[in-house]
Amino acid sequence: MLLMSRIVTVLRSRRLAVWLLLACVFWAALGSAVPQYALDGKEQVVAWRADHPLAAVPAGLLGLHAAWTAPVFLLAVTVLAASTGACAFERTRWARVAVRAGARLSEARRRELREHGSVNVDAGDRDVPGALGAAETVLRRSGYRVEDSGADAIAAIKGRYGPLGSSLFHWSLTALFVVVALGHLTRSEGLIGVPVGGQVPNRADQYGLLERGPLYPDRYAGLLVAVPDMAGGQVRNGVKIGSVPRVQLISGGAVVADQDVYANNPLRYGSLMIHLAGEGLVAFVDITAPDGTVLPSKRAYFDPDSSRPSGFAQSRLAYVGPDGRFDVVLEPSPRASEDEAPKVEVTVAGPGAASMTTVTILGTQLDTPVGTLVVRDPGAYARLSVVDDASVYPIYALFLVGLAGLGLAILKPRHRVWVSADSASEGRTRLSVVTDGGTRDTALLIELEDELRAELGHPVNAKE
Amino acid sequence: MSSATVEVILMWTAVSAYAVSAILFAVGLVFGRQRLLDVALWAAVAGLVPHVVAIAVRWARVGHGPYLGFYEVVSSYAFIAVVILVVVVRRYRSLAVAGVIVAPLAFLMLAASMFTSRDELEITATLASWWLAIHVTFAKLSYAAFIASFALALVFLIRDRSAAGRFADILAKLPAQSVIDDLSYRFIAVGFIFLGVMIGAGAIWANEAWGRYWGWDPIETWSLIAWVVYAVYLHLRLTLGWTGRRAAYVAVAALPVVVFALIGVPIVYQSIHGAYLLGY
Repeated sequence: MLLMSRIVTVLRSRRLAVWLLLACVFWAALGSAVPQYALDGKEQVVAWRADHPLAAVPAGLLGLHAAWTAPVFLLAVTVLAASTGACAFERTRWARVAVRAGARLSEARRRELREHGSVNVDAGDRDVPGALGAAETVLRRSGYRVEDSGADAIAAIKGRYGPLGSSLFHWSLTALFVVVALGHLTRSEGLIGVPVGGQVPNRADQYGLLERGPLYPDRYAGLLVAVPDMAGGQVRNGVKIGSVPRVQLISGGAVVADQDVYANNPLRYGSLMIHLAGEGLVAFVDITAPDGTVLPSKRAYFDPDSSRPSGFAQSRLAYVGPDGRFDVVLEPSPRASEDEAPKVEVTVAGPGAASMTTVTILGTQLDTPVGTLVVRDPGAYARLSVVDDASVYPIYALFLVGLAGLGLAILKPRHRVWVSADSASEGRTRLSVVTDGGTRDTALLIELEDELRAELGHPVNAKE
Repeated sequence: MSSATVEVILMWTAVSAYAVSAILFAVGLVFGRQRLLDVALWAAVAGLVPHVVAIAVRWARVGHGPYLGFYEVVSSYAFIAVVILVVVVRRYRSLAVAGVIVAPLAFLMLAASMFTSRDELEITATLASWWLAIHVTFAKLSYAAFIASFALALVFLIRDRSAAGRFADILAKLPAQSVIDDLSYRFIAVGFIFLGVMIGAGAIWANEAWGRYWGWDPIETWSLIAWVVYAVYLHLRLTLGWTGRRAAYVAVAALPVVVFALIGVPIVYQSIHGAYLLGY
């Protein structure tokens, strides 16, 4: 218990919070200065390391090229999250006390007013009630509420619930840390190619690129993703939006979601979100081995690539045949005219096959060292980004809550003011003012003094 | 005369007015003439008129607000910096001396933008979203607030160091140091909220457009860095009692982070996000 108490005390430390924030800033600046595997790709990282051999050593040791999942960063963020939680707990306790306390005229405050009034204003010939009335007018005009009053003093407060704001903000930040972490553990994001007019099962083996958190529940594995049609060159509300596929989700034979998908108009189904990530050509490849074995039919996707003669990049398919592994690389061949039959260049290579490169017309049988090969049914395909992240809406909600808390804490902070009046000095009434910030509240005290002097008919300080 | 020509003429008129304003602020400060400072402020206001009309003319022609391309973005920040100066000085007349910092900044920003390409960038499919307006509006408000806090912090420090120097007379007319310090803090506080809204709106928009709310893109990362830097300021001030000179130093040091996030990052790093400044 003592150890826990000490840990909590350390975590609540303001200095620790500042140092952790600065550490995160420093790490983030470093991380943005070097290429990242996830954002920039392995090639860029390798090229940068070759160009910067000295910096590459510490960058590699620290894990800077995967900065956002590096142990150093994750540890700092975890401690920051714990610190935020500890602070949230402390601030909640303080906020409850502060909200209940309000502004009261205690004997200690009266003594403070008499002996250490931060601001003293001559109320002239006004009697004590009159002077206090003027003070009350000024305070009300400044948004204060008088909560306690006596014969010779008043206590006022504004922003009574302001302390709750900081508590709310820190709790929502703490929850945000947790929800974001859980979201990453249970998230799935990948790219899946769906031929136009066809459908593809939403299974991991159907994705080209796929990243899944270790705790991903795979709740949508039974769905089919279909693209019945895709219209090119679309314009919506005067904005060119390019190709727009119609995307359907099919479950148990029934269409459960159906809409056009384009930027800022993703398809939503539960925690699934589907965007259009690109488009290209697709064709199906059938191979029958010499011994009669029919290998699984595969889809060859050809993405646009202006550097290639045909305008499309190669597609590489991996197989395991009776004689071992081999690859089939396909690339659309440029056509001399529109009347010419579409052709594709086929290269077969691998430890399980003799190499061969030839050009074949789509739909015709081609004899290869690995068997009879047919490239058929060319068409368009939509590359869809499929994201399953149940943490998104809770994150939005926490963001709004945090914003509300921040607004309350910063824009409506609590201020308490005590004002006393006494007529002890030469028959003239004197107003004394004290705030709960003491002499640190200089700006507030100056403002109150100016307002009181104006209300009592004195010239305001020359500065304003 | 085409609307593009009208726009250019109006912008150069604004540049000239800001230049006159900057000179008058400087002369007013050097010779301790409050009257000159007042005239300088009116010159800045006079510059705002052709500036806002030029922005409106371009907006009507291209069909979107001033947030695509270096020219539009920097011009709009110059505009909002002058607006903030006018608002602050209306409340605290003696703070007109802050114009010595803001007016030259606005002049340099607008003049620099006039020498860059004024290509009329189209709204693309990704940009066609309500979140763009929210994201950009709060970006401009937050950065304007941080520029204001920077100017106030700088005024604080200059007076703190020059109480007996040649500018003593004009500096003596400023509000109390505690008032300037408090005002600088308030601008940071409000800017912090606005920057938080900008980041949140940007994340929501990114999720709608790209399917991920955060990708550690350099601009996203540096926006978060700027937000955390100001979180450090607020922690230092509100929980560790850093006010006055120490707070002013932090406020001054924080602005370059914001400027780098806004302008430096798109130039230094290649990213899809940077297209708003450099075009596409």
